[in-house]
Amino acid sequence: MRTIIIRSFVFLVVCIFACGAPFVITAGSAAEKEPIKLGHVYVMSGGAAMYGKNSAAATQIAIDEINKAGGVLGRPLEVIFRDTKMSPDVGVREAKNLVLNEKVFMLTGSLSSGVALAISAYAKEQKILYFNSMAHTPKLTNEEGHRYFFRWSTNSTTQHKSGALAAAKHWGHKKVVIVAPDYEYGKSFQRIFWKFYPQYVPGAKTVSEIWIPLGTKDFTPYITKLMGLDTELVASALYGGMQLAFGKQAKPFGLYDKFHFYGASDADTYALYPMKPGDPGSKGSLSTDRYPSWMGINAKSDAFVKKFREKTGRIPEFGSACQYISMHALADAIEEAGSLDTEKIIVALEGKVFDTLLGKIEMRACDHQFQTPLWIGIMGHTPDYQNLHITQRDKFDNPYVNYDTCEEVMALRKK
Amino acid sequence: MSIQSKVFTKRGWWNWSGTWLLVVLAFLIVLPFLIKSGSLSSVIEMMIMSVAACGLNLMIGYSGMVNFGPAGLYAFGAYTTALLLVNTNMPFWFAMIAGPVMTAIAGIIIGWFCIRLTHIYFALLTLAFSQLIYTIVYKWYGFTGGDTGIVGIRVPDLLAPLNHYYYFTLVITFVSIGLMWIVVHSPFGKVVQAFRENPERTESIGVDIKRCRLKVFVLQSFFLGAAGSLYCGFNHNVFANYAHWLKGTEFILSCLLGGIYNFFGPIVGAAVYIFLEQLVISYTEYWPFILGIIIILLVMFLEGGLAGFISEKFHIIRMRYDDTQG
Amino acid sequence: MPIETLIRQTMSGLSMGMVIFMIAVGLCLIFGTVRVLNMAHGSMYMVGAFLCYWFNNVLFQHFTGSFWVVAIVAPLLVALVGLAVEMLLFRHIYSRDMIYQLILTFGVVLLIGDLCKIIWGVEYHLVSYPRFLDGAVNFLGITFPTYNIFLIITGVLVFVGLWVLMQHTRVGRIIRAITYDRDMVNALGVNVRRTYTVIFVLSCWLAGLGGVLTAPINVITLGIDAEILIECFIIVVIGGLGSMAGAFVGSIIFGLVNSFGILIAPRLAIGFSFLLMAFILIIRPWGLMGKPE
Repeated sequence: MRTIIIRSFVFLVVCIFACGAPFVITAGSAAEKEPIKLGHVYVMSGGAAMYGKNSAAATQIAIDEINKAGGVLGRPLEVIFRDTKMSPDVGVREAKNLVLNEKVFMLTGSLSSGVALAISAYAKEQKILYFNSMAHTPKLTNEEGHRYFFRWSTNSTTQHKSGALAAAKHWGHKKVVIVAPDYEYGKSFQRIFWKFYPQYVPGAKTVSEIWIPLGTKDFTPYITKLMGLDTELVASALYGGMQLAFGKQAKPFGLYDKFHFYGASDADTYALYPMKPGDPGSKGSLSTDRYPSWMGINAKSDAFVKKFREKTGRIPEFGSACQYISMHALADAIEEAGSLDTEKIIVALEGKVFDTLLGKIEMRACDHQFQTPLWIGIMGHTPDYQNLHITQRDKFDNPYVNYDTCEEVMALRKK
Repeated sequence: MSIQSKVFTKRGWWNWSGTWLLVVLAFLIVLPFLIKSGSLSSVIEMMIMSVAACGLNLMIGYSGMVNFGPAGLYAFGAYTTALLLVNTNMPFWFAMIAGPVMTAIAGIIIGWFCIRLTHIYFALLTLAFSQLIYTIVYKWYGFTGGDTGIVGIRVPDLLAPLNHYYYFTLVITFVSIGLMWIVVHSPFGKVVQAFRENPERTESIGVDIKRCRLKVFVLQSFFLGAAGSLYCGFNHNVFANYAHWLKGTEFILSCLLGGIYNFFGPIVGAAVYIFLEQLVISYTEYWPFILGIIIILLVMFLEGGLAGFISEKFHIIRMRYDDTQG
Repeated sequence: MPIETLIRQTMSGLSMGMVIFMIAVGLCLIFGTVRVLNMAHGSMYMVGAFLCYWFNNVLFQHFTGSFWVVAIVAPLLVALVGLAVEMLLFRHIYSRDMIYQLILTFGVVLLIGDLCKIIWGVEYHLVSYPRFLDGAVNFLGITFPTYNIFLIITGVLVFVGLWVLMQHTRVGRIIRAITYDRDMVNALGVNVRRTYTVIFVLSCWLAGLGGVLTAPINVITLGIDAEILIECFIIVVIGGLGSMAGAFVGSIIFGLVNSFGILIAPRLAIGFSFLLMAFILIIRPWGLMGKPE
């Protein structure tokens, strides 16, 4: 019995080798109607897998639409999906694989700023296009920005500067506590929010900074610490799973009744989960929403939401929306360039205004940062929409667009 | 006497295995001309992984101590090289050598604490140190780049093309494995295997076990650091993930897959692991599931690993051939 | 430090500690007797949490009071999964080298992890607090959630229950004897192999129970198995591999160190646990209350 199993195992391994050999040795030949391949590298496993799956769905929807309309330059588009596992070295390895083995034309994706920076460096080396629609570190378009990189979503600068503006105008509190996850994104938040908030509220001071390690599940000690602080505003950069758990655990403490909250990503998070009135959530807090699809922005947005819901059963978040926009923009740019010459495509993209599901937006030439807007308001429930969302928006200067100026970007790049 | 029988007699055994070695080397030298650059990239990764796995196997296979945190040492080498290349004007070769050397020094310190323990306590302490290194790298944002790591590390123009780095890695891999071969077959290597089998007896004949263990730990650290430095030069980046314990499981799995009781086991294991991973990932996102099944099959049915299995079969064939020769 | 802060952080530390105790004690039990560090323990916890979500939010969402039924049924199902794993896989490797045992449990982690992904998908899932425990109580000048107090009480009950099991039942006496001297117990004619199965199943049941009971305060998603595993390792090391009382005390220390640590030196919190783990292993490898080997 044992020998049979061993022999089968060895046979299996040999077969796998035999099947794999053609991949290693033969070279492919290009044909006229051969698809243009794109590489989608995103986290598809572990706690953040949903974002990767959402982006993949949005990409596929866009590609299907483009192919149905005849493809690009007469050729269909094809996407290959790979998992970065939220790890930069895995991300680069998959990117390399896609570029060298699968011969993809361009790369797209990645939620994590670390992974994005790594892939961006690789793309720069290889001189191939890399689109990102989710990672928020300003570094991607500032210090580490380069010709081949294009960011289609907001970045930390606009998100947190707008938040600071809104919080200052709406409440103008002088005592602030910062709550942030202890990695690059959280550090960006603290740096940018606190750069601008004291400008708008003179005399404001940080009562305390609460840094929460990634992977924390039990926030109780942090919540109890917060309860004991003498503050008026709590500015938090928690998002996704962290925000959900924090909100759940904080509600019985009455944390949201004791202080005013600004949650940089709350609306994005809660947009993904149907909540019942009374459910733990940050009801009444100020939040940034980067894709308020329920607002009915325009017909394109409604159509996209409908397709996305059919495909995944979920509501799309801003990453998916921007990913969808970027794919259509790519197709338009290739058509305008008339070829797959990367340099011509870059020229076609720079400075162009695209009519998208978020409105008419420009792809800024100096740093390749799409001037994506965001919305801010107070969170709440309305009978017509199941999720917590920003219900009160009128007192705010929506939409907000607050990116670094081109001069500031160039100054950072010179350093 | 025909050449064949000379190759298969007991005295000629070295010739046989030496011939194989030359064949493999020749194959590796012409490889860049045979395959696509994507696959060449994978082969470089296989070589780097095999250096790490062989180094690790000095502990797991030869001295019977389970190092559950090789990733920390691997990352230590990678970060040493990276930080030297980014923050100083040191030449590339210097940074490459500094990686394993500094890791060996770290290995002295970490090893000194670890080798006092045995069995599961040893494994847990190595894990704790590895995670400590991970934490320090992750948090020391100003120095190590934290979770975003360091990208765009400079490499000399001579080594920039993939083919050139391939040969560079080939040379270093060959030298490293050669060094390990010498260690394993030296009297010291025999002592190490002796105390794996029977520590009390070995101690009773006057061997200072703690010192031996420490030496093995430092050796292993050196080669893990070398692998880390090579990888840093290959990828032109370093990230905190290099130190995460899950990365360490890749090295352990390579050793086990190939066979921990065979010198070439880890090399075979590294190659097969990377090959399988890339193959499966191109078809499905459920690689962890497949890997889980492979692990279960491996542990339950193939204890000697692939190399162990192959060498067992060759041994049987050889014995039978010797018998028929008379 | 004001007295309210002291009380608050103590309570949150206790809550954190008892949560981790309920999950870690199973691992402690396995290690003390079978001497295998079961990495799949975190996976059992995750299965328990997913089952809780599945039953509460999907299958039986229209039944009120279902949470308590789930709290009884789900851990039993997890115990069944544990039984299957033990019978098919683990029982064959008790005599093998440690490296093979560890890596086999790791293989099971990968398998269960991807199975959860295939069955339940990649989203975050939330389970509501059970109806009578979703408020807060006021005492000694602070507000503290009812559910967290419930968890503290449950943790203590689990400890007491296990202690009674160990001290006053035949199975418990055998388990304790195995911890001291396995070969002697075997020589006395006790079926040690069967006891191992019982221990393994019990430990999976505890992990599943931990998963279900902590589901309302956590987010249920992929990846929670690996996160909880490292914490369990730390507790088991601090308390002493094999000592239940050690795990109890170790958990409380862990919780309190975390909750007060973030007051004093917040940025270093992430490193505390590993430093503590390394420290204990260096100074006193058998932990606070374990048995020196």
